[in-house]
Amino acid sequence: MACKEYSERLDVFEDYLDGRLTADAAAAVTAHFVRCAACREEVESARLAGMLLRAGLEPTEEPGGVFWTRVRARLREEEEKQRVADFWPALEVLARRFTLTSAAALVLLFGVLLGSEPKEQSFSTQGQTEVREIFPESVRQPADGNEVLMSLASNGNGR
Amino acid sequence: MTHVPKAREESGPPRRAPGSDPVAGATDAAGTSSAGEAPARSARGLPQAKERELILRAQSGETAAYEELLHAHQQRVFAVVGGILRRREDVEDVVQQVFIKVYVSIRQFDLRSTFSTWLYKIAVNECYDYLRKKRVRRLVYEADLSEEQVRQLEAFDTGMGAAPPADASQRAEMRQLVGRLLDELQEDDRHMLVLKEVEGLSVEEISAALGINVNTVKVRMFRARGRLVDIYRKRLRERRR
Repeated sequence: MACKEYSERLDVFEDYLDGRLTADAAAAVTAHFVRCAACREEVESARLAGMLLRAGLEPTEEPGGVFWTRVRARLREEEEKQRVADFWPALEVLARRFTLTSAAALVLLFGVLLGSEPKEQSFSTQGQTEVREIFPESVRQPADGNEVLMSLASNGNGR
Repeated sequence: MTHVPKAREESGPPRRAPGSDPVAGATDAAGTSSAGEAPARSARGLPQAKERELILRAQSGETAAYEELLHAHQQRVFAVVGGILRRREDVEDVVQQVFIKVYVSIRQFDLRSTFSTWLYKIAVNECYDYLRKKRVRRLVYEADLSEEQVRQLEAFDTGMGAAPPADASQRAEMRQLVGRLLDELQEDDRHMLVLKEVEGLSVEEISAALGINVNTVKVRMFRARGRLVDIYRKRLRERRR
């Protein structure tokens, strides 16, 4: 914009076009136009743009009566979705509670079972000792050094 | 669902003619009459206390209150969505989606903010989402203008074409012409101009809807007007050559 006086105050021109300036402020702008052709032309162009837009485009029409019928139908769908959405979390809470209760019951049951198990364990340990006592593992010791060498040679470890 | 009132006649405020004087308000230091509202009324003519009551009732799940609230704002929401999309066939679907979003999220609305600002933001976001999903590309028309469009541009250039054409086919040509010129502007600038000049929104409403400072809206809009006319004159010159 060529004019230094208004180049940073274009909002004033917009207000002028919009009829938002006070009478005094509007008169000051009009007086400026008398001495500044550049600003006058810019504002005239801006006014022309508005006229062009209004001549070419029409404002959006109000909705027909069916609009709210469709909105209400969508609202009902939304409410239904909400009901379903509210139902599952409630079921989840119930399921969680049930799981926790079941887990607690199982732990308790195991506790009771474990409490009675030590006797069986000591019995079985005792049993193993007895078996070992009955069938002790016999490890035959070599009789002398030759037997050791023979044993190594036969296993291939003496190579 | 709770009681739903019958659809009633639209009771929105009368549309302010674009460019006409807004409601008289206070005057600031720069000599601007603020477009302030009467203190006890909300942005769209619903008394503030009434609007607050409706919001609270809607937040507690009362569908009738929700409908009454949106009936009061419906015209502006249609204007915002229509101004951005400019495709009539899409507008109703998107507004419907906006209303559903409001219904679902009204409990999140903070009563300390302005309802219309919150509502417009939802509307604008919904428009942008829609445009993104539809992948509506900006069309830059390289094709020649029709004879009728050149005649219309010339009529404007001589100051004779200010009124919309009376004939339906001429109106269609004019609509296409203006659409073509607008498509050469930046998206935000295009939206601002249409919302202001065609849909009749105030600078404050545009600022709230697009989330841009009021003064910035004024400056950008003034520059965009200039660019639009530059484009139109360029087209005319090309055609005359």
